[in-house]
Amino acid sequence: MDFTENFKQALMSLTTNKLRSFLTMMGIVMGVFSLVAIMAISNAAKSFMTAEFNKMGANTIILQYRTNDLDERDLLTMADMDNITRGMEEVENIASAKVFLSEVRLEDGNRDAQIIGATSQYPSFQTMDFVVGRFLTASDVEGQRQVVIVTDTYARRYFGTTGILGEEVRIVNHNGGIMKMKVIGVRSTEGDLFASMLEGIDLPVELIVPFTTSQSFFGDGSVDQIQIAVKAGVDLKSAGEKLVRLLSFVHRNEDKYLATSVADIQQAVGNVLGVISMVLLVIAVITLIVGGIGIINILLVSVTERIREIGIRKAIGARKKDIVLQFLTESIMMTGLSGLIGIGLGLVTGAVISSVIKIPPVVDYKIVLLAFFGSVLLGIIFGVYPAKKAADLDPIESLRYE
Amino acid sequence: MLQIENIGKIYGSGSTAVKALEDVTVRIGNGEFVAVMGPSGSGKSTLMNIIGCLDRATSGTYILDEVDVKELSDDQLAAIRNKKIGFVFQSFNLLPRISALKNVELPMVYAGIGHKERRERAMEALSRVGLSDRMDHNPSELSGGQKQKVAIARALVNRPAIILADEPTGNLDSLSSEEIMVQFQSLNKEGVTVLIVTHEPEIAGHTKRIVTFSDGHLVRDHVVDNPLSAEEILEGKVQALNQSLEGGMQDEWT
Repeated sequence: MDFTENFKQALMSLTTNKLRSFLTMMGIVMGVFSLVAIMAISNAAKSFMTAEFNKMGANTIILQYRTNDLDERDLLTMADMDNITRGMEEVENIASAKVFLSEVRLEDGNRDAQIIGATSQYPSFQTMDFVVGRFLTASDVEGQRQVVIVTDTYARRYFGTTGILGEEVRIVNHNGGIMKMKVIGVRSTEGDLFASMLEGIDLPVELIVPFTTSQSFFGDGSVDQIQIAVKAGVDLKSAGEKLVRLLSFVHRNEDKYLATSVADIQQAVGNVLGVISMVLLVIAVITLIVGGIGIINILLVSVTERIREIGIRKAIGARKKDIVLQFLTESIMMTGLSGLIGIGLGLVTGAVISSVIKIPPVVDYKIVLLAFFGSVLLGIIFGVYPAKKAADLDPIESLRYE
Repeated sequence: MLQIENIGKIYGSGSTAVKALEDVTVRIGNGEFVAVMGPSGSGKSTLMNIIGCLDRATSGTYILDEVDVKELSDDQLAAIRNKKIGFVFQSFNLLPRISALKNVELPMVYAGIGHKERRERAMEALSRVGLSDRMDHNPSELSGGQKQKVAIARALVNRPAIILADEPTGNLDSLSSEEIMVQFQSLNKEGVTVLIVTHEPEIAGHTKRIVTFSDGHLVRDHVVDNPLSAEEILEGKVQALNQSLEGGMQDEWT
């Protein structure tokens, strides 16, 4: 019994019951589909995250408060930045920021605003592209200049264009005081995952001003966090510990600060993503098994329907392995084809979802090959029992079967 | 050469055991034409299944061309069924969804013969039984006689030494039966051993030897003195048919 003959026979048998074959295949299609789609999306998410973290720099340490239980003296200030640069030669670059939740005055009322007081080194840690203009300079910060950087969405919404350098933005503080700020830069939010996902939702507008300006306007000189880039080759963990020791010494307190490296965060987020994809994969595998049971079931029905045919084949000289091969071929054809369809659907869905959430799709050909050969393997596993059952039929009984 | 020595066959076991054959000894030489007769349940089909290597005897020995069948594996038996033996059944047993040609090709598929040769030999076998113009028809589009001819073509296509036919004319009218017997007689003339199970004495009369079974025992084994010639009978029947048709037509004309 040669391969082509086997193939033709299996194809004929499957096309005889088109609807049945189709429905049986759906289980495997769904399983492979979810498997491929999940892998595509989780790979895309992983590579996106890696790229984002790399932009921030892998040698970055973020210094934050460990608790909310803070006294006045525990608060970090601009002075601490100087302390750190003076006290640690490992530091290459340092920046800090403080976010004030406030409002911005518009012609027809106020709108919530997140006013970020930043230092000039801020963009080294936070990637930022400009449509027009520039970021804050050291002299903007030192001179407490009344300048502001807005987002392109803000500019388009309230000015109708992004070319608004020199225009005026009025920010409001808790006492109702108003400060007029001159626009010196419009930054792009394109390619920003969260901005594009949340487009159309009225979030507080994000305005960046010199740290010193916001400090005096809001009357608060503390910072939320300090970002420190260490020199190449410096151990992040020991540098982080040293930072915490230094600040605890300066502020004469204990356990108030926490140093996290970007690598730590990346790993933590990666772990969470890994767990999520594992759970989804388990579900996909369960789907595959259920689909496989469907295939066993329908093959058993098929064997019963064709007992007489099997008897005839045996009478004219089919060996056991010929019969086994005949049913295995049908099974493999079903799962293999299901695998191909599932892979196709999975890749398309992965691409669609990627484009919706604006992550570039990542096709892992290893996964695609694995999914295909996995389906073929499933065909063998699920086909063996029915095929064996068919091959073991007694030829005389089968020939008499009505 | 078929040597059946003291063959017995018991179905089931214990109190439900049924003796289908008991102590049967018979020898059938190459080129013989034998009818196996007997009432239903007499064991004749069981014997055919054993001779055809579809079933194994419970006791005794069956030697087929100097080989003791007991010693053969299932796959070896399958190979014998494929190459040495051709089966013809009462209910034709063609695969319903494939053409007559594909049905005839099937034994050669299992014999591992290549596509082109298969096709040529199947066409040859079908034209031998007079069905060259029906090759692409599925069994459902053929009459009973035509189906049985396809089955005969399938049985002879691997050039077997033995053809086993179990009630081959049981589902056919007398004209078709005669046509089938023409095929068997012509095959036998070429040296093929033919065994036919039948309960119709007229069919048995076409053979050269009749063995009769009753209750699992071989009770009679005799030579047919003047075997009927299927060709002559068929000619006579066709003539009679034509005459009656003409007569009927004349009746209508006058």
